[in-house]
Amino acid sequence: MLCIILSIIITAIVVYFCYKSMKPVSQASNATNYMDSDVKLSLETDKFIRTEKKRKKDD
Amino acid sequence: MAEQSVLAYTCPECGGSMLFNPKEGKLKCEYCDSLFTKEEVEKYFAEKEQKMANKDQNKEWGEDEGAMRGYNCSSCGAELMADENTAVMRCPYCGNQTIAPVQFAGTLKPDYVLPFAFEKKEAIAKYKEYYDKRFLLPKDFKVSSKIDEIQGVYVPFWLFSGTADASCKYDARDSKTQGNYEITDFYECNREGKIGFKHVPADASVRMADDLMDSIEPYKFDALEEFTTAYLPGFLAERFDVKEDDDKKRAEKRVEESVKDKMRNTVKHDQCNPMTEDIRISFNDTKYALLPVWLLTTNWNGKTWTFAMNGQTGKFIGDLPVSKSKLSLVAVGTFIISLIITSLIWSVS
Repeated sequence: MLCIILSIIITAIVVYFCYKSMKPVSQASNATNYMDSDVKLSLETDKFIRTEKKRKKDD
Repeated sequence: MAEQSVLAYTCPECGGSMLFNPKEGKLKCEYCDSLFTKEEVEKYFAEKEQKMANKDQNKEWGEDEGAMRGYNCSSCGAELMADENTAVMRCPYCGNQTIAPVQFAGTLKPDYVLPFAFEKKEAIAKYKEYYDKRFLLPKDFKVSSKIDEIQGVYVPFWLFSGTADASCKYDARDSKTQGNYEITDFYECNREGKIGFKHVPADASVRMADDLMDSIEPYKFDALEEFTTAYLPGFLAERFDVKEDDDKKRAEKRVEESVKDKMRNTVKHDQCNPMTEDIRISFNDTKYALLPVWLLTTNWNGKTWTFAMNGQTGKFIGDLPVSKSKLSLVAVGTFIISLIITSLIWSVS
């Protein structure tokens, strides 16, 4: 049963990507190609807040 | 009906029509093969163009005709009709490419033009290459494609330049394992900065699908030339019909997303989650440019399919129809193979 469910999931993923490869047109979501390569930073602070220590779960 | 003056680049040598040749970067006579540089042509036709512009009455057909405009072909005198945005058209009687100078006059004059770098036969080859490797494409789609109707079009674009100021706060984390323990350090990262952007394009034509025009990007704008009609013969051209302010919102959204990405990349921790991202965009310059696009529209199964190729870089794109039978075959095949593999793994483990 698990094998069938897994196969259905794999098939759905493959079919989705095959279909998407035929529909490559999409609206641009960024303008990276037309921007300066680096940001000129005027403020850059990394404030340490706390440390958390957790015991790893046994396998 | 008032007719408007048009400009046709006819060969100074033989009177034949001339087209811009992307390979030579010059205007070439279709009949005697004479080549002329942009400067030579501009000089030769400056007087003629001025004369035409002076004659122009700039009148439309009238309310009832839906802003159609009438022109006379300067080569054979035939009466041509075009909508109010068409700037370059081909005379159906003599085949001469004619330009309506009024579409590029005054405030309608583009600042730049990016010349075509690919010829029609190269665009056709790219189209064939594009669909040839597609297994899922229906067989009869290839047959019905009217590939010879591929057309070079100068599409109007707004190019936005400016700067973006960003002020962001992130929740960042570094994780490491020490013996039986997982240790996570938490940080609050603040970033403020500025980044410039230049010539973010947004197509200014209602007829062109925004997503299709976005998909053939990027353009290399270092090859932009000052606008002259000498680049237009051989291609269609339109003037803008989307206002600068309407396109600005699209450009703004794109810039905002890129600035967010770039700001997040300045945080050098294992994980980075934005808490606040304040992006302020100021545009300080907008240019109007004509960019080269090879377009092919074809009808198949009652639907219109449009393909576009970046006339500068050769990037070809367009959604393709999917054969349902082939897609089903892929689904069944994948299911059987994955079922065999998962069953084998299951039985071994």
